[in-house]
Amino acid sequence: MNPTTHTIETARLPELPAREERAGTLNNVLAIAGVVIKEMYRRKDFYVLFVLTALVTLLMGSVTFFNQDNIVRYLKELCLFLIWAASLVITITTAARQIPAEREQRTLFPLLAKPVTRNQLVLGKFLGCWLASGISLLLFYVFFGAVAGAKEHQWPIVNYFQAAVLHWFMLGIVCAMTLLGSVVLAAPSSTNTIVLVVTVGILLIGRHLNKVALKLEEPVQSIVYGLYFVLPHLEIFDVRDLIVHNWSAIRWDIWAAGLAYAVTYSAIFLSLACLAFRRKAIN
Amino acid sequence: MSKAILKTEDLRVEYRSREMGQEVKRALKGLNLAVRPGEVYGFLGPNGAGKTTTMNVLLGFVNATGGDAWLFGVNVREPVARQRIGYLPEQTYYYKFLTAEEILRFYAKIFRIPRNEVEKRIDSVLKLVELEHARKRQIKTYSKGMQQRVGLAQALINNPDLLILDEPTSGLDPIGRMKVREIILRLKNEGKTVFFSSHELGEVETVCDRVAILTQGELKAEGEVSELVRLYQQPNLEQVFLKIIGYHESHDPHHRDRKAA
Amino acid sequence: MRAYLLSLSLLTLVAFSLSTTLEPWFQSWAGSRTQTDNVIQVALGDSRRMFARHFYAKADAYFHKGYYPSVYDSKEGFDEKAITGNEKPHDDEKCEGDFLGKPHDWIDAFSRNFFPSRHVHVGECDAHDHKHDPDHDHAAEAGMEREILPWLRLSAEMDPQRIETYTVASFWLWTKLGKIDEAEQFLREGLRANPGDCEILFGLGSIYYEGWKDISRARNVLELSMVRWREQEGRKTEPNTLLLGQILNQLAKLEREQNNYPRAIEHYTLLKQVSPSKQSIQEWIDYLKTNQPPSKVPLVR
Ligand SMILES: Nc1ncnc2c1ncn2[C@@H]1O[C@H](COP(=O)(O)OP(=O)(O)OP(=O)(O)O)[C@@H](O)[C@H]1O
Ligand SMILES: [Mg+2]
Repeated sequence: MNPTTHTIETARLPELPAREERAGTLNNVLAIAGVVIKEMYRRKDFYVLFVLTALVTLLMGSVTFFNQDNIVRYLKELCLFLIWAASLVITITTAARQIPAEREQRTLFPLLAKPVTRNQLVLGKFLGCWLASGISLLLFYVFFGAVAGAKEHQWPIVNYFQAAVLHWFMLGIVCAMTLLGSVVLAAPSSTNTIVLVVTVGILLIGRHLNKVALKLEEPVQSIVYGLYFVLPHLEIFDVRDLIVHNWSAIRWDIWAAGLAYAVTYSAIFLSLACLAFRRKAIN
Repeated sequence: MSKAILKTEDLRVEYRSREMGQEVKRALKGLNLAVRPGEVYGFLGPNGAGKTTTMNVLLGFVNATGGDAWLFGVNVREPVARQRIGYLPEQTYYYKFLTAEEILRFYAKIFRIPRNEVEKRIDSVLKLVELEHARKRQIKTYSKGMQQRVGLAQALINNPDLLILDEPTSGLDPIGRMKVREIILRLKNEGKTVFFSSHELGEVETVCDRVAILTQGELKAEGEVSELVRLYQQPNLEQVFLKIIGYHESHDPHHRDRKAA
Repeated sequence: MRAYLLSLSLLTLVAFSLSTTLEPWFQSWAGSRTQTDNVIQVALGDSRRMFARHFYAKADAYFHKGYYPSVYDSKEGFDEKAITGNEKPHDDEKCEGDFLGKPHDWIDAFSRNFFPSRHVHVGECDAHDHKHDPDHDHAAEAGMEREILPWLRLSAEMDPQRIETYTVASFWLWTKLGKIDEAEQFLREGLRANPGDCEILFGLGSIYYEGWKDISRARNVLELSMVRWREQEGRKTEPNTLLLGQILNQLAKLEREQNNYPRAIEHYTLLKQVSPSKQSIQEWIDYLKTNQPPSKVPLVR
């Protein structure tokens, strides 16, 4: 029945390619990131948030207070608030569903059956989410600049650039944090909620945790004080007040140091996420 | 031994999960397999026998509790062992927001297929699984069988030398099944190796060079179909299979449980 | 779930903006004495007072160009009252330390580069910026007081019973932006929500007096505000004597300028009882008693 049986014994094993890991990592990470970005712009959430933000901003912009039609800061404040809220929602929900969705829909299997390591997968997902949030931020800030500029007749491009980039790097930390959460916690919804609460919490009281600590009893005091030093201070990146009130731009060296701070924290969270994911059984 | 393209030695896998308490589930109990280059190898066994588990070890999803496994002579713990294989998972819902074309392009990128070859390969695999008409539609609009074909297409995108297919015909209509059989035979003629699991004993009989029959994590029989039929003195593979797993139509349904206990 | 929450909060915002747009129109609508609660009152209930407080604080923060203590900061040395226009201008040296104090640690020190951390008021230039582009800054800052108005408007919308909102907004509208008409309108709106409130009446009287120079109306309103003060504040254990002093001072000044010295002396005498600076008031009284008015002007009543 089997004429080939004899030849099988003599058939040669195909050669495997030599390992070129470094170049392969970048290639794989970029490929995975590309899928994340495609997914974001094909889903409707992003457009809904953008249109809602634009709508509310324009609506509020059409209101005149006391027949004074050149009032603009409240509008800038409102628009920036909406942008911050929308960007956090977009980033966290996008990042939180990535790995759980891969597991649930079992696309993780064909993917990891290819020459892709788990670290590359986590890095690719991070890069994808971060770039996707960057693209959406760009759109939001262009809209913001247009609205503010049209009312104010001045274009502090440098300030906007500084603020937008700081915002974007902060989203990098949030993204890494969310990925870590999505690997450790089971359901994406709990990741969403927990990361959102933590992020908003840090944004609101991160700066004051040391003062809060002073008012607490001893065991708790040390914990809160420790948190103050350990948690990423996301609120640093919230420079809305500077653009709302037209303060002068941040010193560039300080600004760069802020970015470095964000990169450090993102790297820490990403490493933790990689570590946690490596230990995870995936079947 | 150096001739085996896929090889396991005393492979043991134990699952220990919180839901099952402290109980240990021994899914594989010292499995020895050797698949030679160029053959079509059928991997059979009742539900829960450990077929998917074996494949999961081969693909590095599950770490073996004991023993070892090799692909192309490289230990499966190394990612590079998966460069020349194509894998079709049991049931997968591919990225819903991508089109078939985009998914294949994505996987092609991971295999680092040269740019000028990518489109050619995509065209040829889509033609092979007959999805050309739907190549620009998002996967969420596909039927189950169409998704299964996408799976087959992605398994073939890198022109692999070894195919590991977990129930490739499940969810397909009779014509689809026939197509899969044709594809497997064609790959064989191209000199590829195919390692696949199936519950369709009829189709296994027609395409396989050799089969292995597994029950409860243990290899019960291995060899050419004609050999097994002769050895067990049965009319066809199906009867051989039933005999090996210890099923007798006349017996009461609790028979197996008592035997297992 | 998140989509729901988000759309809900966005809808609330839409409600805000709609009501602020519609409110003036409502007011000008013939016979608009509609007692129907507005959307916000229905939607938010009593928590709207909290929002009003928040928006009022926001206005104050805008007055300080975003440099504002949070609930966690000690507010000592921070001129919270400055927004009402009551406070003397602060001198720079005193405010250098401000509520932030010295940085506690490197995180604190580092983060201060990222938010406004100098005490300036809207409409004034940042002293530290004078070096590079003084002309530009001055031009850009002129009339920026208007930026605090939307928050006051929202605060009034949320809690119409909050008196300071009206007085502060009218102060800025009138003194810095020259919008006497709008200032008067807003005070009247406050008066509709708080009939006969002495503080609003005082503000209104001041606008008639110094803004419109309508002496007889100013006198009427200011005197009415004094009567109302007696009714509203006089019974309290700790009456707002500062306000009474302001009313009396305004009235005395008005009568003095109208050469109606006897009335002026009356007001000054009352003022002396409540004012901390009795010395200077006594000097005024003495001056008015010894000097005759330049010429007898008939009293316009
Ligand atoms: N993650 C897991 N945790 C615990 N037990 C598991 C896990 N995965 C599989 N098993 C057990 O291991 C055994 C083998 O399962 P496996 O999926 O390999 O069977 P199979 O041969 O592929 O069956 P089927 O024909 O139904 O696909 C089964 O008894 C199953 O219950
Ligand atoms: Mg299976």
